[in-house]
Amino acid sequence: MTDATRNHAEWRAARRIGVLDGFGVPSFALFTTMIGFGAIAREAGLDIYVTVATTMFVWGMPGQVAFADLYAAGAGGLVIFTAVALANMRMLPMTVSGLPMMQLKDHKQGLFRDVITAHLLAITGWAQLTAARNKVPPMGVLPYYLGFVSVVYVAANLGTVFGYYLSDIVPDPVIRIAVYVTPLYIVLLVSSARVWANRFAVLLGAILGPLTYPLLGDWCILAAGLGGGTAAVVIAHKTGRAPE
Amino acid sequence: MTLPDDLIPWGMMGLAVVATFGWRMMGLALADRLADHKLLFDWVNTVAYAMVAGLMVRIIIFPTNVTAESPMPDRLAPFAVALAVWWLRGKSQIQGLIAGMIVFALLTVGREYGFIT
Repeated sequence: MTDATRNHAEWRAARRIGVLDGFGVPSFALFTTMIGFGAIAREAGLDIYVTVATTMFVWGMPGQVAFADLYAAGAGGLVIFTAVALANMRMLPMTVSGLPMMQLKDHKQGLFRDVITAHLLAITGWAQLTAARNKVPPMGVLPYYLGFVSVVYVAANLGTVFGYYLSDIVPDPVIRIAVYVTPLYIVLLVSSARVWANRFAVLLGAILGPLTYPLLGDWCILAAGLGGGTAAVVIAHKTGRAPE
Repeated sequence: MTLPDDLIPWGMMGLAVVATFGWRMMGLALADRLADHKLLFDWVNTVAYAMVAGLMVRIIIFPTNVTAESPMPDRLAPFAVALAVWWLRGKSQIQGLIAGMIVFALLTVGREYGFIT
């Protein structure tokens, strides 16, 4: 077996594991979450094409909701741009930390594919990278992630369409139960991080986020991220628990 | 310059796309450079974890979506149960999630049909 064949087989094997992991809870969670977005977008007066395009190209739920809410309120372009940028600001630390986990540089897949890889990175895919590292070798994380995220991406877009057209015939309690799943799932996923500093950051962020929300509103994400993240890394380094 | 009426939603959506895509591209540009600076890289990691956790717990406790129709105890109890089961069952995410979902569903249905007031 040549190196190329072996690499190709390893790539496909890792991608298959990612696809399988994508089915089940993550797809269900994203599908149901996007049902909520589909319903919100319809209420906001967006047509189905803009609604689906928002899921496809923004691909970050809080920013999508901010966009639909503000569009409905008749907000101007600058307000929408700023609100969405703030709501989706976490994409920056997530891509900075997530892309090296995929050994993106070593795969040399070209700028266009790198851009697509970065675009598809949102909370669920990013949180899953923690699990991926326990399941596939380091060079398998990228194909694992691409397999995983393609399943989740399709499910999310189907959920958007479903929510847009069918939210008024599905009983409200059912949608409520479905929408509750996503944040719960992601909290459990990030709480299982391998590195102590990251687990500690989750704990601090989980306390600071809701604690500062009544005072800071949506800025609480920044307080949780910068406050919790900084405290966690400082304590980890001071106590010799820094990641290796 | 103004957009024709039917293009306004697309224009606004375009701004939302750029506002998100910009962060990702910045992340793509910075990822490799930061990887060599251990402390900075660790910090960005912990910030990402803390930010995501803060946002998700905020959504559970102070939701702006349909789950806001459930009273606070109905959202907190399933969250606590999910964490307890996750912890007691060897950090099993799926068992924690199912336990939390069942409690939330029971409370939601209980209120809907008047078993819980």
